[in-house]
Amino acid sequence: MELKGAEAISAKPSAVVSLMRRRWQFFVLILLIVCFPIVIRTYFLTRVGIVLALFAINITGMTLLTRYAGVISLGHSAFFALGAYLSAILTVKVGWNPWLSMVVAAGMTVVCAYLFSVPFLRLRRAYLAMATLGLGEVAFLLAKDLTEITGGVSGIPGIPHLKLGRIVLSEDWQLFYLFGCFVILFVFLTENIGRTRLGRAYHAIRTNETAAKAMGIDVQWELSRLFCFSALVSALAGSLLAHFITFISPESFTIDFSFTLLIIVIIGGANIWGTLATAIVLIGFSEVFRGLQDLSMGFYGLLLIVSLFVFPEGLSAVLFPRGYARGKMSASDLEPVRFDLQNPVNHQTSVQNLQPREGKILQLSKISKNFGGTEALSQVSVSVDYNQILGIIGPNGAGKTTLLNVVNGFLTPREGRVIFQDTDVTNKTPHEMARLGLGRTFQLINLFKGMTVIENVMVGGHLKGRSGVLMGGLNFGRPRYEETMIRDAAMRSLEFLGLVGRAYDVVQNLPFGEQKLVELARALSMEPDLLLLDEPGAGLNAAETERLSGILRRIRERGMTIVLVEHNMPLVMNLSDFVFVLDFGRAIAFGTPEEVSRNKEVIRAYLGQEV
Amino acid sequence: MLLNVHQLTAGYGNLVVLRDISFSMKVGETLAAIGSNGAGKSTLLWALSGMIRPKSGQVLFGEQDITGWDCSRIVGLGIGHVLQGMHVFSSLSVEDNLMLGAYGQGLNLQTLKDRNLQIVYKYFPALERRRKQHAGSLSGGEKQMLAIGRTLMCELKLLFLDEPSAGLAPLLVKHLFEILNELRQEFSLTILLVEQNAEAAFRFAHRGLVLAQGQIMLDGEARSLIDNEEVRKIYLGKGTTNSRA
Repeated sequence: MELKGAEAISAKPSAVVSLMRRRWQFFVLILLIVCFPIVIRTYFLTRVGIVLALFAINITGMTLLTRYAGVISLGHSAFFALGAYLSAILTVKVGWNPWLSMVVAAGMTVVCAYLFSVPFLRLRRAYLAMATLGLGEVAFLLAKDLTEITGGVSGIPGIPHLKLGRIVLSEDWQLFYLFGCFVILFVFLTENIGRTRLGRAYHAIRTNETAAKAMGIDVQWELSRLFCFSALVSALAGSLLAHFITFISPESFTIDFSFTLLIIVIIGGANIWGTLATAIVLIGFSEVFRGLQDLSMGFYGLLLIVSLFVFPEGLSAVLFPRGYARGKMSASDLEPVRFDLQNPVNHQTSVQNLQPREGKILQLSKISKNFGGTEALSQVSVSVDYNQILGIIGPNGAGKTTLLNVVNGFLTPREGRVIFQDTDVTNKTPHEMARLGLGRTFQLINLFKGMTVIENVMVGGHLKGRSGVLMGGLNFGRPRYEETMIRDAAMRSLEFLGLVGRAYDVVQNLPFGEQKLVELARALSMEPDLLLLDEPGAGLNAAETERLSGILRRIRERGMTIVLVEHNMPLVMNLSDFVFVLDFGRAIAFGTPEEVSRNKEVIRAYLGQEV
Repeated sequence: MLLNVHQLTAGYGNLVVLRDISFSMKVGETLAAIGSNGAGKSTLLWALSGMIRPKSGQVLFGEQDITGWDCSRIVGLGIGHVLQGMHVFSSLSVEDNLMLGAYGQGLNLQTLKDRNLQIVYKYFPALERRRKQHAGSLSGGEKQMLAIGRTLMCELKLLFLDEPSAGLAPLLVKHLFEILNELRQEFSLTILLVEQNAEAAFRFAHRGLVLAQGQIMLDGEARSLIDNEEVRKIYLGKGTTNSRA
């Protein structure tokens, strides 16, 4: 099977050529920055270049925050202002070295950003946007009215220039190069974060938070970290601004600034190059036509509307499509690659086959759960041994999925205890459960739309990596090793399920049944001890169901324990060691498939006839 | 003929999923289409109900050429489409969900409440018990009933069902097909059914289609298809009786 994309390229011999080819945008950016002051000699256009560089720095963080993670912030002018004012105050009033004050200002801004992120990031979408809008407005008013500290409307004059040794960076071209270095650094970090583990995690959080949690992503913490990173970037840009114009006043930090940033990343899309290109066009345009400044917001607004119609996914989606662009599909790509398990792939993995252990892997005791007035589960007790397959059946609405959600940590039971591998996990959150070795698939498809199949499965390997924003951004050493490991594990799961041919397809273009398999592959790449499957057989025909039971048997042979909720009787009855039956939230039977299918109560409530 | 499909080709973007499909349906006939995942079953329903525009071919409803019509217009003709996966308006009440089903035909409100709604409640009494509840709080089975009931609110002539049995308990599947059976007799309803549960589908239908890779492989009487060696092997599971229904 020919692998497409990055693999195919990196297999080529010359490392430099391949680097150039993969990262050509970088070389273009560096070339642009180096050449700009040499070619452009006018005072005015150099200044435009500097403003553009400041926007570019700001945009790196915003692209990740808004376009990857889906956090809409209208408050980044606050962090921009905080960086600028702190830096100005520390140099002018305290008399510190500009570099030191820049670092301290950025550090203090990050602390503030973290404190804000804790309550703010509990909100989502429009609510979050409104909360941050408030933040930006408050920052502006404080800058204007705290006259003693900020100088009020007249601002703070006399901020010293930055120095490199004895050289004072006061010439515009010097500053442009300095800012250019920051642009390159942050673009580099952003791009690396975007294309590796954390970038995938952000995309996952934006498209399907539930599934992201089940994959072990600590949503709150990851978003907090990212929010702090973007605030850091804005604060640094703010300090640079202060030391560049040597005078700051509140009017540089109005809400318009935040809106402009947001408009750029919305038009630009989920790719740093797309947003950079947008910034160059938009900022360049509005600076060149400065005389018409009153019109610039109107112009942005118009452009925003047009772009939302022409390319709703942003400019990047047009310039750098994921996987195969739908338009580029050729007949050979369409040859259906069915999951063919009649001749299974010879599966030699480095996955250590877990030693079958004795005893119970999961014990539920007297679980009760209410929704409003209705009792969804009442006094349900059941346990599963290591390496068993437990089937859960029952009428629709009997509480089967609720039970899985209690085990998974999406719901906390009103009473009762959940013991997983000898630990009480009753009050654990989903991502903590994933960390403890619990994998999960969902009843209705819960995939990360817009990502390719392999990327979806790689999110399942999230917990294999530990590198954070900075390490991941530098992408040197451990993050690279982790990335290879995650990719290999994902490929192995796809191979195991016969989905390799689909690896680079965008996931929502797959038919329903294969999407269910991608969910299974994603859960497998977590290498869990216990796998919870919610109706894996729904939407499969008889032959496909048979293949699925083959797959599940082989998963069990690898040492995993499986709990599955299913209505497909041939599947449950052939596969399960024990079957547990729920009806109206109560356990009505537990036993071997034979015992259960003869049980009068079960026949009455569920089967309708003997199996 | 109520529905005449002539050399229909359809897909998404440049992707072609269905190629040159031709078949027709008589009034009161039930046709079941089976096939593996990706064979194009759902795409067929989407193309016929106007959810996607066919790339080429012709769709005749009675004498009327409805090729390329928008979904909302096609619904107005009395063609209902129950999507795969129990789609209901979660934040609306059950009754509001049902009332929306008649939106496409602009019927008189009183008639709707007196007649159509009562018909739905007669066949699906569970919905009447829960008429004030949010549709999102229903169980899977009730949601499926609601999705089907909603299409009955307009003057329905042709019903497309996309995997109605998926995710339903065996007893409920049986019950669902009983209700559908009563409905089609009472209103001489024409039904095009897509199912993974091939045995149940063929027992219920008069005629069957087997789709593979976007084309019709077999078209014949449903009873004869159950005995077809190839169909048994691939779709019914090695000749054992399928006990899902």
